[in-house]
Amino acid sequence: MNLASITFYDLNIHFKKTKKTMKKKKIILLASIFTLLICWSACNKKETAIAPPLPGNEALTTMIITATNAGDSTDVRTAKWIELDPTGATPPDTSLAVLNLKKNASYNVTIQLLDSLTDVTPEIKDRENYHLFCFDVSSGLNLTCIQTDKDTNPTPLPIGLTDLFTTTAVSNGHVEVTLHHQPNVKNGDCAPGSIDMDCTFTVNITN
Amino acid sequence: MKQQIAIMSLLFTIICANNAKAQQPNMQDKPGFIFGLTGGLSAPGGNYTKTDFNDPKSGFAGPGFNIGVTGTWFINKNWGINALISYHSYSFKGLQVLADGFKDAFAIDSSTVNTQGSNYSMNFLVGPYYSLPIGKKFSFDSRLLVGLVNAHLAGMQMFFEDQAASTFTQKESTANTFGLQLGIGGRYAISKHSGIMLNIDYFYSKPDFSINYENRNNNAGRWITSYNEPIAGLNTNLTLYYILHP
Repeated sequence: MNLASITFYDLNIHFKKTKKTMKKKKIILLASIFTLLICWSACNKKETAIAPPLPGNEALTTMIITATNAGDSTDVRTAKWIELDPTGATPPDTSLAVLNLKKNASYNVTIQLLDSLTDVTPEIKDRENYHLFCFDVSSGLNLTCIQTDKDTNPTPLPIGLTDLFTTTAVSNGHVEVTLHHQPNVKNGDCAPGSIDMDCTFTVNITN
Repeated sequence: MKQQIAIMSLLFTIICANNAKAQQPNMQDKPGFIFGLTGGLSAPGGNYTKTDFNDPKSGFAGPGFNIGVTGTWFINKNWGINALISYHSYSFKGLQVLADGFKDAFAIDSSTVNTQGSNYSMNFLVGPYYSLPIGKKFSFDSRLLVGLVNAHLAGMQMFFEDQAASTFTQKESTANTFGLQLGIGGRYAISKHSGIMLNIDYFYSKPDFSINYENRNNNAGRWITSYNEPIAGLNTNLTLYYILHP
């Protein structure tokens, strides 16, 4: 064995070892990059999702009030308020929006809502937990209106699909019935939320 | 002189060769302790990943990642005790379903859902470890770990239309429970002291979250007061490990 051959042998081993070390380093480097990439790509980011408004929402067109005398079930009064133009450009038809009630009487009232010809009252009932009917009685009209139904909120709140109208002395005036849409802000008061429907009825309390 | 140099060189070569041989990995040797850094993908399944707005079991979680440190103390060539501390994070899935669901449930024109925090868990697990060496550089490993899981459920904030007052928040929630992890893997020795391992683990825990809200007033849409569904699925991990031989 001469010196030259030993040197070549050493070099060969050194070359192989270097190649092997580089291979190992490559594996470790790739594995580290892989792990870092996973962590980076999966890192949590605050996320947002938006449900945008859809055009062409249907409008409520008709409100029908049916009042049944609590003392005389044959005494049934009906009033209808109609607005077929959802833009409001055409004034509502109030020719039938007149409620004639007897004095000193109690009336069990139901309210029905239509969207054109479709009865949407069940939908309002389904969404009772954030809907409320409010009654604004004009001064001089001897009428009190109390909602008699309750929703299913943790603390039940009035809805107004069924009501009790109580009359006293003979008088005339108006009652403004508003349907309030109160998503997650319903608290029994009329103020929160927005108004889905606003109808004014003429009320005559007679003998 | 030439002969002396030749003999010296030969001895040096033999020593080097022996030393190099000693640095070669050998899975047949009993390892003393293995320390590893592990990370990879976590793919949960079941109700935790469901996105049905009307199903209170839906967890709206998606795949994520996990990272951790692991250590195994070997009793003999095959058996050891493994400990794992890991952090699992899961993404969100189906947020649009939530936004659409609340929009419909409250009959509003538009809604926005913002996540708060994240879905994650910290696992502290320990259990038996079995290693079956195949040749000098490769072994099949398996483990069964049990222990404590500290799980966290992300919160969400819901905005309705332009009414700031109607905004409500499902608060973030934390729960502690027991969990388990069952895994198999292939371990490849790069050198005597280091190597990589590719392992697949099934993980399971069932934390009982108590859910609270802020400004949640009206009963409409998804309203859960607790969430007690399994967080289970598969981890696909790469582990870089270092071995201390006895």
